[in-house]
Amino acid sequence: MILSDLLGSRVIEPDGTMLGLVVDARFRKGPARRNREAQLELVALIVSPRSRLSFYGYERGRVNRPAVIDAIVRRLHKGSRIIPWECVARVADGEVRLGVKAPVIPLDIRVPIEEP
Amino acid sequence: MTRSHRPTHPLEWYRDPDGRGIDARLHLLDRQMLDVDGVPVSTVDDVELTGGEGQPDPEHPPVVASILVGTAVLPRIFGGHVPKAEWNRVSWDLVAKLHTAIDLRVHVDELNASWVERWVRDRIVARIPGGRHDPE
Repeated sequence: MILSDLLGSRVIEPDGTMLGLVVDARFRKGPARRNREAQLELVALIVSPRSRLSFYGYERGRVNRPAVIDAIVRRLHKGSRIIPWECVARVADGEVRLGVKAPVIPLDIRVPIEEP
Repeated sequence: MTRSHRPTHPLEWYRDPDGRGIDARLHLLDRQMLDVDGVPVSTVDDVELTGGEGQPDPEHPPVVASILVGTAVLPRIFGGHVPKAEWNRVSWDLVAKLHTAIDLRVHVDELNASWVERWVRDRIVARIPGGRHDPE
């Protein structure tokens, strides 16, 4: 599978609700290896209900200047969330089907994770 | 991961509290690749993952197998698919370090991914008068 097959895919919950489009994929570095970069393991998908673009990290809540751009990007990506890869049941034909209802993990680190 | 000094929600792990996360669009795609001598090779056009298609294997989550360069960029712009045989791959095992650029452990001439550039250099540019040396 190539990454482009995932980016832009629609994410659908088990009950048929569409959560949005995959705007990015979050990998995690594995154990360090001698003279080589660590393996990158896919851990989660970043899903936005409004936008299909990623924007230089503003929407992740770690960059907030200039304030005007921050405000625009935050508005565009309102409701963006992280879907753990463990929740994914099937990837095919531009769709990512979830096997379980995914926990709500807001992408913006300034927004607390709330219990359902 | 490094453990937090104060109680945190377990799902915070997915929000990358220790900075070991790599977001594909933000940290990987379109990064410049440099060979072992610091010579620019290409940029990351796409990334090939192991598995992942159809029903994911919970025991083996997808990992980055190789970086795709060259024609792999076309589907990102125009959609559709390039046949797998046409992909120019740079194995992830050849990557020495991922930072603001991607350092490789090999020379650019050892990579299949650079064959178009080598062909143009040897067959076209080299035959232009003055094409075999640096500008004076």
